[in-house]
Amino acid sequence: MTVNRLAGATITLLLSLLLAVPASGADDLSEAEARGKHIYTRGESTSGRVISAEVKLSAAPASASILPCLQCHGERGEGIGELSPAIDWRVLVDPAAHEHPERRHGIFDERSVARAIRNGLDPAGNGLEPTMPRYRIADEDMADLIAYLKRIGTELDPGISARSIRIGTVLPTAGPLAGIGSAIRQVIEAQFADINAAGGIHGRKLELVVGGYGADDTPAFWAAQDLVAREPVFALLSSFLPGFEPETAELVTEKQLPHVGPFALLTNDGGRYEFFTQASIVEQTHALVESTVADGRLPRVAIVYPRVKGFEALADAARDRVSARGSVRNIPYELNAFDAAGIAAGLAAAETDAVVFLGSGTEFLEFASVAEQRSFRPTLLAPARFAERVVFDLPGSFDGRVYLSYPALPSDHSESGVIDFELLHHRHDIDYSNSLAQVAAFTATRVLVDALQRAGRSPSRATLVSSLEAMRDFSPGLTPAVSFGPGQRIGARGAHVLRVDLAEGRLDAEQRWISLAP
Amino acid sequence: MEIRKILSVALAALALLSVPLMEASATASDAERAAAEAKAREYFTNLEVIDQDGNRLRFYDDLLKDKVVAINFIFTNCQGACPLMTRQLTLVRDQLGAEIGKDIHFLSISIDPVRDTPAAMKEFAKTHEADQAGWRFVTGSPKNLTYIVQKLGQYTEDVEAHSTLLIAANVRTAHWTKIPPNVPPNGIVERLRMLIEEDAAE
Repeated sequence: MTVNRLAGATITLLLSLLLAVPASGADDLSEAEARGKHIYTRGESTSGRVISAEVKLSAAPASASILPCLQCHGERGEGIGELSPAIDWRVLVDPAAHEHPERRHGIFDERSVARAIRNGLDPAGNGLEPTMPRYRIADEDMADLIAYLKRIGTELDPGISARSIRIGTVLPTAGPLAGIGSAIRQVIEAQFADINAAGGIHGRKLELVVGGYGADDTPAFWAAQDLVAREPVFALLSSFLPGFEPETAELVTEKQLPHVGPFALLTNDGGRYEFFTQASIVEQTHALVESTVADGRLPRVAIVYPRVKGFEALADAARDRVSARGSVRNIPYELNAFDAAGIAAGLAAAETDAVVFLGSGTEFLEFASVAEQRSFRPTLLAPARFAERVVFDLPGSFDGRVYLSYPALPSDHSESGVIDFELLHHRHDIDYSNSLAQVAAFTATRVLVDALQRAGRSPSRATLVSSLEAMRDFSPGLTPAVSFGPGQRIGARGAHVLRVDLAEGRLDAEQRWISLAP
Repeated sequence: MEIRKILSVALAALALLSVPLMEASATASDAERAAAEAKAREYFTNLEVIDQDGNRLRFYDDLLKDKVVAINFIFTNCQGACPLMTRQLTLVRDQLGAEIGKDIHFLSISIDPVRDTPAAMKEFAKTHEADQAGWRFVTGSPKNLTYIVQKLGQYTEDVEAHSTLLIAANVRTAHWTKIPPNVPPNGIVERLRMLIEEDAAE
């Protein structure tokens, strides 16, 4: 008797130890749980047995694949408000969790869960909400589904384990852009090493996986596809895929994979999962147009741009943005067929006050010099990335009328940011080449790390997205403060606009921050 | 741009027709055969492509030369016609009773090479039970693939509106045919058998 009791106690202890392990987030599902997950997420049995769903208000039963559990009860069984309650096992067996507005009942067990799924009744025999379908499902499949309901919410997302968080980046590792790739990689790895040396993030080490491209003529985007397919990563950081930004946005949206700080010049529309730290050319163009507003009125502004992928949309967006305060003319030209004289003549005839110029530096100079010949002297505005190199070669008569936009300036540097950046280079023996890419990677890594720290001890990709969305006025050290929000994916929504002093050869004659707060 | 595109497709179609005509009048002397082959290689290009196993192959020398081929055009994200077309080809394969990889070679060419990695092609092939010797799913640099697809007369800007045509050829006899998508599998089988049985010496 005593022996039996002792044995019983030992077994209970062992059991409780065993049960305690998965609660802290075990990675692997048992076979039954994995089959159950398939049913939960897709409404299909891996055995091929048919599962059908019947909704009270409609007559014909449908395939459960149209109405899988996931659709209403969520990825973690968290439910959506009163209509579809939380259904993870801890809630189902919690006596306090079953007070509904119209009905109340006791806790669920396996039998009553099966009855709810098949017959739409709660443990007290009350009908469930009419939107809950009745499922026809075989006993074996029901057992699998219940096995999964006991695990749902405790799984970790791909790329994260008890000890590590795997972050991916896609970079040029060979070819003409390899220098930029290596700058980004070094800066991320150095920061990860420092964070890991200090204990990681909630005890997890950060690992960087690089998808490299550039060694042959296969598309750079293959590196992104392969990285995501081959090695599950929790999030992407600072990928540099020039020309493949739309494909990248599509990929991360499909995989629900957060991408922090894509290193992209033009794109700012990456969908729900891409978080840009600073203004792209798109916002800079908006800021340049906004900067011409005087006394609430927009002068006659024209945007001159080459007809290349993305520019049409950005010029249209800039025009629409200010349409309430005046009109903007968009003047596209064919790439490599820039007719400076023709465009200048047209703009002069329309008495254009200001020209936002998005062509190359050479074209900018050409335009200014033909305008000068006709004594046509509009205000000239351009993103620094395109025009900084040539700006002091402009005709002197434009002095006082030339403006450049920058997403970030030395005035955004905080003292500690500069020190951290310097120390990083010093400690990890990194040189200062490709500093633009280095600053972008430095900023993106800080944003990611801050969001991860706030995402809790068991972060999911979804909680990372929420945590990023909750970021307000985070100072990354070298660039303007970053704030995201639901539907807000540009961290620093605005740009610096500088007046260029042609006579003195100075860029800092007058500096304004044009905020693009919606 | 549009005109140029139409022109290039038209030219490609013309060239497709002219190859067999030119060949038909040729006698089978070795020198003439070699010249004809050089011409075909030049036309169809010998650009590099990559199959589902990552093998780098020359388009003419490795995939066309001296072979009987059935070629279709796919992309792995395709929700529309590609899976159906590939399914149709697997039915053809099963009914044909010929030795795949010897008597006839199947070739599925990507029209979305930017997204279609060799691994994605492999996955697509497996899903359609078509991942086997003698059936290559090829992708590669977009420049090469676009050029090849243009040469086969099947290029469109919009992948969703891509060609559903099956191209079948006996490259040895320089006999090229187009099989529209509405031909049932047994009709395709019949045409392929005829191509297989053709002999260059005739």
